[in-house]
Amino acid sequence: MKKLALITLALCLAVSCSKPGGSGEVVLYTSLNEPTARAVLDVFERESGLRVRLTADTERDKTVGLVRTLLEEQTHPRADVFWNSEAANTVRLQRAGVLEKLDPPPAGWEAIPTQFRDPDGVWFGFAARARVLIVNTDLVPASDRPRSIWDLVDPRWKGQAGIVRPVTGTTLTHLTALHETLPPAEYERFLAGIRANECHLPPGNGRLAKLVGEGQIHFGLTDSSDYRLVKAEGLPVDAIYPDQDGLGTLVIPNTVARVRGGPNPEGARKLIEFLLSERAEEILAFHQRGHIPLKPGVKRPPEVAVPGEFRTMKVDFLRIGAEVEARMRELDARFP
Amino acid sequence: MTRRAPGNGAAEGLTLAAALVAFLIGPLPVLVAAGDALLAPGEAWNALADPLLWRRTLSSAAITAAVLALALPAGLLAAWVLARTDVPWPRAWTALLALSLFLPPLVHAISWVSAWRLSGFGAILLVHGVVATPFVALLAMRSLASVSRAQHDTLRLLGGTRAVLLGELRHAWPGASAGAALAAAFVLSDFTTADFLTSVGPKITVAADSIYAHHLGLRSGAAAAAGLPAALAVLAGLALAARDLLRRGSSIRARFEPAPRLELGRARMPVLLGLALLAGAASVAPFASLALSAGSPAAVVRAALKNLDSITFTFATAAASATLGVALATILLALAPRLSRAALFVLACVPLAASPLTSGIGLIRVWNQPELAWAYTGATVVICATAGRYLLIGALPVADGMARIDAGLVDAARLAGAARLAAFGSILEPLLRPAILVGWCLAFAFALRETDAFVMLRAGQSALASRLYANVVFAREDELAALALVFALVCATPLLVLSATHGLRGSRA
Repeated sequence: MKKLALITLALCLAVSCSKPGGSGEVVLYTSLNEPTARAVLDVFERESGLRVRLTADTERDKTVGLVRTLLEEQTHPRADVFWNSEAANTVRLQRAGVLEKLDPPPAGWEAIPTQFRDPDGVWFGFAARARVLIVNTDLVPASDRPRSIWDLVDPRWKGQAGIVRPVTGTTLTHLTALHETLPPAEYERFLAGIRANECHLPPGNGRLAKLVGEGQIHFGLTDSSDYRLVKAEGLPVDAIYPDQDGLGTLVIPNTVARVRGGPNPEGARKLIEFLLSERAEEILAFHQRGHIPLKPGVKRPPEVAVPGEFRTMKVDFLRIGAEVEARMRELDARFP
Repeated sequence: MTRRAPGNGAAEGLTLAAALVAFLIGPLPVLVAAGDALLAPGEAWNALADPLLWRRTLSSAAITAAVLALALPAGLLAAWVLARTDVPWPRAWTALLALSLFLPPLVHAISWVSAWRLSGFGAILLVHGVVATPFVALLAMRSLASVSRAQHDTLRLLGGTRAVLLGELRHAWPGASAGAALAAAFVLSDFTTADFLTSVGPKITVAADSIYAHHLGLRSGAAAAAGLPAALAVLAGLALAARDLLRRGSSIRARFEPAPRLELGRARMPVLLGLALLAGAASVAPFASLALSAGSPAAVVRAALKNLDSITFTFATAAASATLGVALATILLALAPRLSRAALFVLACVPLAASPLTSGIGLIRVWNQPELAWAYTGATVVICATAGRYLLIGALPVADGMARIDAGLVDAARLAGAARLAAFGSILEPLLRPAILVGWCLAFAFALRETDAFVMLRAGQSALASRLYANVVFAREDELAALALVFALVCATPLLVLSATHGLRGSRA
């Protein structure tokens, strides 16, 4: 018994002492999945000589962990950079004073389309994802494919369509964008239709895409990155950019910002500038998940379409960020 | 004026230090975070007055009740068969049952879904049931280890084998109820299994979804209040179980003689079939499904190599956490006065009853101080967080062992002049050793599985279970399965050691 205690206490000491630190390190909190983020960060580490200590959110927590952690750590910040896989929570953190303006702005910031960056220079968008309809091609013939998010609430698809329970992640951002864009009656009709049409409500976009690929759901609304993963597995799926003759397809960028009072502000700047570079967008475009470059002229695989090649939905992410909390509360009550 | 025996001051000092550490790592973070409800009473009241919270709480209560209705009889019967009959290979069956504890419920769910595409309320019951049954069985087996020959003979004289079975099942009740209370705590706080298993078809949301939604909405006071009904239910359940456990008479006396094992006779085959069904559902089926999904042994090896740093971190921190937690529990249970012991027991229940997200927020507030940067950004916070959260799990088997030791043994040593610390080291600790090992293994298993409280902690993201959950994002069952198998193999190591050395069935303490 004593031996066991001694061994474990020795382990405890060894692990406790293996703590990181120092100016050669940048602490990054990211809601992107770790392998994708690592594809970019490995290159940055090689080229800059800085080490990136990464804390990634898990799908289970859907950004709540990182957002709450950043807020709770506000008195003694531990992170240098926040890389969010969407924009709404970045705006929430900006409003809470957790993030700070980069002055002077990072190199190449002017090339980012204005819709995808903060006018005050606090956060910047890059490497986006489109909100697409993923369709099982075995179950839905080409002539009968859905073309609009309104197909989710069309009674002819009753019990066959799916949308992630809209209280987190990009689906919450999407519904908040609809709330900001559609007339109130139309927004209400859409929400009521999801319930009336018995849409399936899986817990995440990856799960939804998989369910469509397996044929358990005919089609659903998901992120282009999740569609690509399922397609790469050889499952019979296709992606449709919805509402090309109307509202347009929502494009949600990754966003990056510096944490106010973080331990390594200069390292943070270097990492942000790298993430906003054409190089980083190219890596993410060629990654399995196929992120959409936002800067013009970035190399990409032919199947990764960029805004301009399809009609995009016009949204104001600052308004979405300001509104998302109220929508989350409403949607949690409406999809109990 | 009585003269203080030499060494008693050291015992008191040690007890006080242990109590302080236990409070700092266990209830303090929870109380700090839960204090938000007091700071925002309006928000807290609105959360409690929300009918949706109560609807979801009822849904959670219904799931928990149904799970316990399955797990209690199954766990009790399995425990009795394994501890009190001549069933073949009892250690192997026990190990197989216990193995299921080492996989988080979401991984069980994924394995069942990938094999049979199960979904809905029945699937939720199945997944939580197979995780809850070993809880009941393992702790009930500890209780059954104290059935004496005298008790057994009396029961047999009174009513034959039937009376023996019923009498001994009653004897197993304190352990079984403790197991059920612990299982209920986990079912009530889980917020992923029901969501995942109702991906297709009618959605079932639970109380934890309301807590999660408040956290997402940055309403800490509302989140703390929304967690209150479930926390109170868990505290009540744990208190009842603890009362049963601590009330029992001691059985380890100088002339204690364990009861003989019953011969199964013609019932052997049906019993073996029943055990096979239970172990199959709890461990074999999920692991087989994961192995099939992983594709090849090479994939598992690749996953292990890729995550070697995480495996080392997880194994070391979980082992350290279990050691810290069980050491604190043993010191407090053995040396603290009886009244303080009960108070400490209640305090140990607090971290387990609280919502894990609330715990996570409290941990940041307590540990994220400039002077504690080394601890907060390293493994120390992970070790302390899990030791505090699972203090009770390590403590229950030790308390069970303590309850069965005749206080006269220690009194005799004290009368002979031994100091409290010496009596503890020379009499109590050797007798408690098997119970301590069981407590250590349970605390180790839960420290390995932990992700919820780590959601907020940067250091916790290095844990293997966090990586496991991160893989869910891809919906790639092959990668997830390989990692889950690696995880299970890492977890199974102490179980195999325990099974090989002491067994979980028949030791006297």
